[in-house]
Amino acid sequence: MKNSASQDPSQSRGRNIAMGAAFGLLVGGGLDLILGDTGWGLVIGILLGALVGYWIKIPLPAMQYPPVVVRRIVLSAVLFFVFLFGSQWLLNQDIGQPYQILVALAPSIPAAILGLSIASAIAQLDELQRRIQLEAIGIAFGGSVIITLCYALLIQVGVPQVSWMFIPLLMLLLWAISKLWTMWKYR
Amino acid sequence: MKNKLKVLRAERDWSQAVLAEKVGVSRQTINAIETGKYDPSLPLAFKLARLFNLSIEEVFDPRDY
Repeated sequence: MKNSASQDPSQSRGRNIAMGAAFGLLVGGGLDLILGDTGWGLVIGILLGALVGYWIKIPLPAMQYPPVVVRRIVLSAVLFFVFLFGSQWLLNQDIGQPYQILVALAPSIPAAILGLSIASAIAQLDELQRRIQLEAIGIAFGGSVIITLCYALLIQVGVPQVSWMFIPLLMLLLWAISKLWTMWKYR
Repeated sequence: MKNKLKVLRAERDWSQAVLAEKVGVSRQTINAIETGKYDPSLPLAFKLARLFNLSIEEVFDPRDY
């Protein structure tokens, strides 16, 4: 009896590298915010994550999205980073006060497109995969509330404050970790 | 929930991927149902039972409930 679909090793390695890079991006982005927002944390995080993904021999659990959906998510993510770094660059130039608000908020547009693309991808999943996503989002939300609450309490005793950008990064990282865990649970 | 999905699938020499495609879900979902880690929704249970020309009770064992 055939029990499982055959998996192409090069495809699973490519997926591992992409997942490692995504994890690295989130961890590196967080470290970057703590260590002074230089941008190097992101680059080092992505490279180290991709390297770890390359060295992991077993295929990491991943959901099968239609290629068109993956393309849409990747394009929106690229657009988000272009807007993010573009707006940071523009804000460092000498632009007028009214434009500063518009430029600072500009990355929220591709972020909304990215959010919609992810929501549309989740809507196309089957019932178990949607349940996995729901559990993962629930764990990520609860975890973020607890961690940010602890952090807010620690600020009272002198722990240095970090950028608010840390919160979405933390939520995304917890979502990615809890998704891996819930996928493993239903493997 | 215990079920006869693995046996029914074996009788027809279908892989999990083939069965998954026939009912429009992922292979992981079929695997989770077979191992009892996930109980399918009523529409999916009907789809699976109809595919094997059986009733839901003949595919899924309700004695756990």
